[in-house]
Amino acid sequence: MKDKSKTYLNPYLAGFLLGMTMLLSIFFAGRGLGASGAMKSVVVTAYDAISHNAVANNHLFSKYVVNNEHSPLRSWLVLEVLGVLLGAIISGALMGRFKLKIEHSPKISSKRRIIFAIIGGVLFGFGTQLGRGCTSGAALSGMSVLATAGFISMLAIFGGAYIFAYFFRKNWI
Amino acid sequence: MGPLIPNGIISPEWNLVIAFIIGISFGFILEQAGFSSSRKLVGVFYGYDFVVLRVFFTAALTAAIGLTFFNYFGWINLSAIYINPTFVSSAIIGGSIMGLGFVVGGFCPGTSVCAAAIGKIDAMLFIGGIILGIFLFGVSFPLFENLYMANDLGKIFVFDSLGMSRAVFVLILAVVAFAAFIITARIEKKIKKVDY
Amino acid sequence: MITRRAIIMVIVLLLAVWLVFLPEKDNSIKQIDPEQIHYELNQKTRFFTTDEVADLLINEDPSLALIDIRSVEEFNKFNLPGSVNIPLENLLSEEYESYFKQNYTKNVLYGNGTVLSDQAWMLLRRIGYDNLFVMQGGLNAWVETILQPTLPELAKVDVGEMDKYLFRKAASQYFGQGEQASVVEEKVIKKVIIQKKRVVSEVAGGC
Repeated sequence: MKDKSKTYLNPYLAGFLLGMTMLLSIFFAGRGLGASGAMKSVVVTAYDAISHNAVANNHLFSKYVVNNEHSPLRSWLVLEVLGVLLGAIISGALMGRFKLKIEHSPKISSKRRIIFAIIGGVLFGFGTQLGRGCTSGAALSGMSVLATAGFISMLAIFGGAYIFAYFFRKNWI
Repeated sequence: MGPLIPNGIISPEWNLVIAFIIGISFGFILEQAGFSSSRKLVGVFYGYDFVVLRVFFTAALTAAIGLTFFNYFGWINLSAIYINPTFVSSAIIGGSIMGLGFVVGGFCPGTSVCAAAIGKIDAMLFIGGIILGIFLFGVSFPLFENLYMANDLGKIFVFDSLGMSRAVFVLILAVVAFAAFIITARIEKKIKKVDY
Repeated sequence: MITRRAIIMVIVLLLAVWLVFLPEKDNSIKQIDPEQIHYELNQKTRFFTTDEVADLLINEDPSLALIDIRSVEEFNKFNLPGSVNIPLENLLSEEYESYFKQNYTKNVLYGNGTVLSDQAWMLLRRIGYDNLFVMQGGLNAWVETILQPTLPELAKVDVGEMDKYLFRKAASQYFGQGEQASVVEEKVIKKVIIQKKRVVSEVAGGC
């Protein structure tokens, strides 16, 4: 059986299909894709379950819990991200890419990779809130509808990454 | 005429179904393109794999051209779709922090879900980190509230900000994208290959 | 190099160039079906009688917007108080779009009679604007009923007719009995509150 696990779809074709997905999303639902919003929902829901008072008093989170009900914005993204999960599982299964592992450069230890993954996540999570979105919701969707916000986000994310990349090169190359 | 659900042509109950299907498509394509591997993703920042740039730009261009044609054919009402509001300060600073998070952690939220789906433990921990990061921002929000709300320019379009028509901007975007594709293909050939 | 990639890039660039030459479209105003217009044409509800217009004017109702579709000269000779002059030929020009692209005022079109204002109504309704009305009988009816009302014949007098006559007599006092009908009046045109048509429900989105 040929090892398909390193076979990837042509990036331009993937981009085209992704663009069509975005187009259909906008055509049907009037909005583009997203990801960080779903994670925000998780945080708000959990926090709310622990301490409803704290959420009600929180300027940022209180807007997402309206009268003890989930605001529709949250549900759309949560379901979309669940779809992403399923889609990736299907693709991974088809290409034989399922493997429980910690992916890291051979030049560093897995422990180091884990530490950086967590720190990176915290930073990114923080950034999505300030930046009102992530690469999918703010940058990609924003660019697709030609919003100024989309282009500013894209330039800031990639610009920032390029500037900081030098300091973390040991982890990757 | 689109957008179908906001215009009432399709009943709102379908909204979540559509979200799920769109998500499946999104996740499938991302994983197929290899976005479930952090080492492949950060290649764009180190020059050994520009897949992120290719997919990203092509997707945005496809959608933008598609929407402009749909508008011309009368298939969509562009004033009824969601346009991201522009808050200059928070977009720049938040974006930079995300950029840092990207090279430190090797993922972004969407790709981390894809990677976690195929079993990458580092991706799962990245997601855990995101949750923590969101929480931290939320509880320290009063500190950042002013920055968060600063420079609200509203839901403006990039072609208006640059003083040109929609179609002209799309054309320029296409030219810039293609130039980027050609240049990065040359760079990639010159950089030492990374085996992942 | 004539690679497949190069061909695709050229096609995409050609598509983008084509887009530049296509006219910009605003799909936020829905076009109305001819059948719908035909149906509405026969409805009395699109008319305002001269009495109704007089009543709204006397009460200074801010939701009324009178639009005079006659020529500039005719408008300057005589026009209804607070009315705006948009000659028929200029109705569709961009300058006046804002008068129609809002849901706040009732736009009542009038001319000398009804024929031209009906035409204007049809044109504007076809584009999809709402809140369009025609003053029945136009200015000719205005002069007959409001400015120079006739006492109903004694034999036909009933309470309703008498009330109408009394109202019209009072209105004619208010509007100056038509003596100034041929005088060029210097009127301060009442400011019509223009609000750009807003998308009714905000679409949710973001990340």
